[in-house]
Amino acid sequence: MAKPRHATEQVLALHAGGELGRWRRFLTDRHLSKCAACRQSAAEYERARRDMAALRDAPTVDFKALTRNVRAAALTTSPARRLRGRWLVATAACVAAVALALLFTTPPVRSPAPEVPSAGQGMQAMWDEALLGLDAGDAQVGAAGELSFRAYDPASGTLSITEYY
Amino acid sequence: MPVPDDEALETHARRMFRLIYGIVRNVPDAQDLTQDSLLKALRRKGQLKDSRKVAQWLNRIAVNTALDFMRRKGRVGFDQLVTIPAAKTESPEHGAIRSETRRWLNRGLKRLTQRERTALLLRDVEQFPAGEVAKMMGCSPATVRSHIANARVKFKRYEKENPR
Repeated sequence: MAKPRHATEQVLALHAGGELGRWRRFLTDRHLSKCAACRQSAAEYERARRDMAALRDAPTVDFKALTRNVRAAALTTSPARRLRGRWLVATAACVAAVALALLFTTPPVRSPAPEVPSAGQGMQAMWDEALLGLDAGDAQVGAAGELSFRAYDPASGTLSITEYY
Repeated sequence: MPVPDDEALETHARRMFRLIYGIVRNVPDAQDLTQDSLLKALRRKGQLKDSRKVAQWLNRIAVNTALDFMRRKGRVGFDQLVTIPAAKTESPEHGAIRSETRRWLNRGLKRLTQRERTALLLRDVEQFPAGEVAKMMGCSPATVRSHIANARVKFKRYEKENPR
């Protein structure tokens, strides 16, 4: 004959409080009617549950004063809300301070480096913003190593070409 | 929710205090949290749809406030010195036994996790149905049953190891 399978501790714990579903409860009741060990364990769970009733007594406080305080506080702004308001102001001030600090400490944005496309066997650099005191122009390094600058000054309309060998 | 009169507010406050005390096990904290919970409820009274369920709604606020507090605080500060007034008909011997039983139970409760303890107290001490406990704790009924079962198993083990 196969040994009866014992109910788990979890099932017996829930059985004591009536939290098992109908079918599970039926099966557990049937098992308990045949198994003395599980019956004893179930009885211990029920006793522990009854013992818990001793915690029902709670200390008393002055509930009249408590409700009076609640009514009074409900009419005024709560300290938590006041605190939240102060936090908001403080946070906004911090954000503003950080933004100002960033504004004054960040280095100015520099002009982008001149673009350097290849020019035949040499190199050519062009710029269209002020660079080295020149407003717009290009620099070229030839295949033989010669270096030439061409600069255009829009104010005077002068084009100057300087070459180095 | 219409603003309750003084008597009704006091009744709610008593019930909420009991629930909160069950979770935080400390009178000054329970008193502050009851006050906070009632204030929250009065400020959010527009959220209550069904005025017949005001007690359930308040219970949920109380339990959530207490659980939030416990999450922030991290552990239970059990009141060891709290004295609960004895019934007028109670003999001093019986009162002493009752206090000792409570201390013994509190020691056992310390072995449980916060959620196990809350589920067990709401179910076995406050006698709320498991479904209502689940709503108060904001979890599924299956999770609450699991918490209750684990709590009872741990508590039974405590009883075996520390007989009264």
